[in-house]
Formats: sequence, C-alpha cells, structure tokens
Amino acid sequence: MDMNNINDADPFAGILDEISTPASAVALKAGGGYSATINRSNPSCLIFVVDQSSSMDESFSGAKMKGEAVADTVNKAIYSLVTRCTSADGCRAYFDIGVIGYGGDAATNALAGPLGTVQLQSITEFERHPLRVEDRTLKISDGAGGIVETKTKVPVWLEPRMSGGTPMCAAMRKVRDLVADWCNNHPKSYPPTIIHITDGQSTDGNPEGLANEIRELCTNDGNALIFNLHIDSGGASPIMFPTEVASVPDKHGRMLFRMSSVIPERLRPIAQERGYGVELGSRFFGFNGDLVSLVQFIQIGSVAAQMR
Amino acid sequence: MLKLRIEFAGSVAKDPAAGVANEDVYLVDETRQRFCVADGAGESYSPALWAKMLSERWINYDGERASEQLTESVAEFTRQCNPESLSWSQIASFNRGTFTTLLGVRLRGDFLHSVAIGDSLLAISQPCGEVKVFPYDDAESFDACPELLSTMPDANRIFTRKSIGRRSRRWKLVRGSRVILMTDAIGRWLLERRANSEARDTLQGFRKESELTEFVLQGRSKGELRTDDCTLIHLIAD
Repeated sequence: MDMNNINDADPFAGILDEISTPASAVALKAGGGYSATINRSNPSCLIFVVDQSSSMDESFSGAKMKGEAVADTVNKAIYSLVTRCTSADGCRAYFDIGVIGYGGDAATNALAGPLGTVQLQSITEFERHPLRVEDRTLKISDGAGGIVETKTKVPVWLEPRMSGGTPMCAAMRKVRDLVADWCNNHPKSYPPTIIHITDGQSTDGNPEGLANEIRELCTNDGNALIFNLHIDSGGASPIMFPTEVASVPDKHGRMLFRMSSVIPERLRPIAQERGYGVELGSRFFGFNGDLVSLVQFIQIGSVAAQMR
Repeated sequence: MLKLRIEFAGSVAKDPAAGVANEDVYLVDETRQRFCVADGAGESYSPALWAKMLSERWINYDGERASEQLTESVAEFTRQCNPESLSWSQIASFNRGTFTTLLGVRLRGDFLHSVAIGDSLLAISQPCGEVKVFPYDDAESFDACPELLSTMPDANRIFTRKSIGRRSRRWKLVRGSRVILMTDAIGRWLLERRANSEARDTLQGFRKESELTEFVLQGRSKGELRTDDCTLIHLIAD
C-alpha cells in the first residue's frame, strides 16, 4: 500500500510499461500512460522554471514580492517531495529535480552551492544540500483539543532573484535539452513534469515552438507535461485549467495556454479533488493567479509528478 | 477442539531488486491461535516498524482496551525512533505520521474472531463451498482511501470502541475451513476474480515462499497484480 491511498487519489497505480522502443521514437497522446511506478530504478523528473525578471519585484497578494512568494512556494514543494521520499533509511532517489531561473539575458541554474553545479540532480542531493536549514516554531494540535508549539527545521534551496528582462525562450531551450536527454536515459520512467511560473511576456522571442518540442518528448509512459502559471499582482479573478483559449483575455496569456499540456485523463482527479472543474481538454494553465492559485498550482504539479 | 494449522505464510517485497525493505509484516502463533498481517504505508517514516509493533500487540493481546494499546504503541514508536537524533528530512517524515493496516484473527473454540483495519483482506472458505470475504467484497473498494492506524493521535480518533466493533467479525469454522489473510495487492487480485474457486485454489496452493514469489512476479509482468509488497497466510482448521 502506498501513501497516495491516504492523502490523494491513486489513479496511477500500475505496472511498469515494458515497451522497449526508444523513448524519443514514441509519441503518446495525452491521456494514455502516466501509470509507471516511480522507484529508485525508474525515478521521475520535476523541473521548476521560474521567471526572475525585474517585474517579479512587485507586491503579490499584499505581502511578499512575487519573486519571494514563488521562491517560498518552490521551497515548500521540494520540502514536501523530500519528506515523502524519506524514511528511516534516508531519502530515496525517486526524483531528479532541477530549478531553472531566467532573468537578465540568460536562463541559468537557479540554485547555489553543490546543487548549482549540475542542472538536474537526484532528490537525495537536495536532501543533503539545502542552502540552509532554518529553525521555526509551529503550532499544532496535541490530539486532545489543545495546541502545542513544536520546533521544526525548514530548509531553503531557492533564494528569490529579480532583475532584467524575461528570456523565456532561453529557459525553454534549456528545458528542452534537459528533458530530451533525461527521457532518452529513462525510457521506462514516469514522464518529466515542468512547472513554469511567470508574470510577463518573453523578451527574447516566441517560446511556443520550443514548448511544442518539449511536449513531444516522452518516455514509454507518456509525454512530458508542461504546467504554465501566469501570476498577477492585480485584482482580476484567476482562470485555472481552462479548456478554451478564448477564455484567456490577454495575448501573452493565450500564448502560455497554447504552451501548456492538455491534462491527461488519469491526472484530472488531482485538480478535481482541489475543487477545480477540469474536464476533457482542460490544460495545465493558470492565468492571473494569486497566492492561493500559486500554491495550489505547484502542489498539483508536484503531486502529479509523484502519482503512481 | 478445532485448531488452525499454518499451511503457508510468506511475503514478497515490492522491489526486491532495488533493495527496498518489505513494509508488510506477518506474525503467526499457532500455540495461542493468533495470526495477523499488517501493511505499513510506504512514503512514511519506518512503516515496517509500526506494522511490526501493532502486529506484536495483536499476537500478545491481553484484553487491555484497544485505545490504550494504541496510545502505548505510539509512545513506544516515538521512543524507538528517537526524533531528537534524526536529520531534518527524517523529522519531517516522522512528523507526517506513519500508517499501517492490521488484519488479525484468533480462534476461540469453534469461532474465528477477526478485526480488519484498512485494506488487508480476509477470505474464509468452508468445506460446503461457502466463501466469505472481509472487510471488502468487491475489487473497487480498494480504490477508496483506507482508514489506517497511525502514529498521529488525531488520525486515530476514528477508532472508537464502536468503530472497532464495526471492523470486527466472528465466523463459525468447521474441520476443513480454510482461512486466508492477505495484503491489498493479492486481495484486489482475488476480488477481481470474485474469489472464485480457481483463484482460491491458486492462493491455497502455495507451500514455499518461492511459489508465492513466482506468482507475484508473473502477476506483475502480466499487469494482473499491482507492484506492492505481497503477503499471504493460509490456515486450515483441523
């Protein structure tokens, strides 16, 4: 029995696909696959792509800067992933993870220290090398109606950075090359998940073609999945997981919609359980997302990567 | 007087090649006529330890109230894990809680008393051909989130005396009755075949752990058995 039966629906329980066709030669339609068991022999891959341009230095949901909120949320997602992979025998190598930041005129590894040397690294390296581990005090239930304070350790991997332009094409090119390489080396694995967060428009060209190339990359278990979230500091209501491009009011938003993967049938329950009315044709796309949308979007993206 | 004899008891890990520990536990005590399987939930801290501790509680049950047993077990689990000594990620994992199923049976007189918490399955076949399964009677039930015994006190509040009663059953056995305890992967496999005689014969046919291993590996390769730890105890009433 696995923990997905406890906290999340488990539509992906299945047996490894033994197809021996080279990964790059298979083009599965969204909806098929996404059932490979994630284990140490066949890990999956999760890549965060974070806009670090100067516009991320704006207030977000009244409290933090956008860049700070995104960094916080990515850190929490990695923390949650490491925690789920850790037992008494240590952290298990179920994932390769990367964080790409783009700002100024380049897309780079957004991490520092040992994690900054190689773009994609095993989750076990993330467990070993956070930038720092902060001590925090949490208030939790004591199980008898009261509240007790407990000390906990909170690791930080990603620091916010906000400057310059929005070289989205450079970021997508980097993702494409990483994902192509990874898929060829992991043909039996659950396919890579890419979570892209931005507040603006590309300043180095149209990244749609690159996103299409990424979505065509696959393992035997399915195509790579791209989640795109446009975040906004304004008051407009978020649009989450739409089916029609026409429902997105802004041309840059429409571009991100087209860059996003259609939600495979097996993954729809993850968003549905969080109250989103996803249906056939819904895309992994959010527009004008607020802090709640940001947190839920990243949760849904990283849970999708964990499902098995 | 009836006695349950062990025909087979064994377990196969979900990923033996990767050296991943088996998180299922089974314990048998023919002298006291107590038997149990427990399926520790993966992706939690030390699930096999928690499953083993609760299994030992079942085997050594002395009539103490279940809620007190559970509280003592949580304290013992915490003591053995020693959170003060853990890394940040192990503490985080420990704080999420650890979960297990517990399916226990004991024979008293001619009656088999059972308690089933979670999705481990009990199947009883009588010589007359009658078959009973508990706590599920269809394969779809395995898709639901099972209620599990946890190291988190809040999560255990669902287990009141009344609710434990709902998870308990008593069965009259006769000479030749067969009792099978199994964890969920095999349970689902059995119920997908509506616990028919062919499927039961397969499960009742194992005499060596290598035979269970072969069945599990073949089932996985055919896509008939999900990749999970698989445990089975087969008892016969003499």
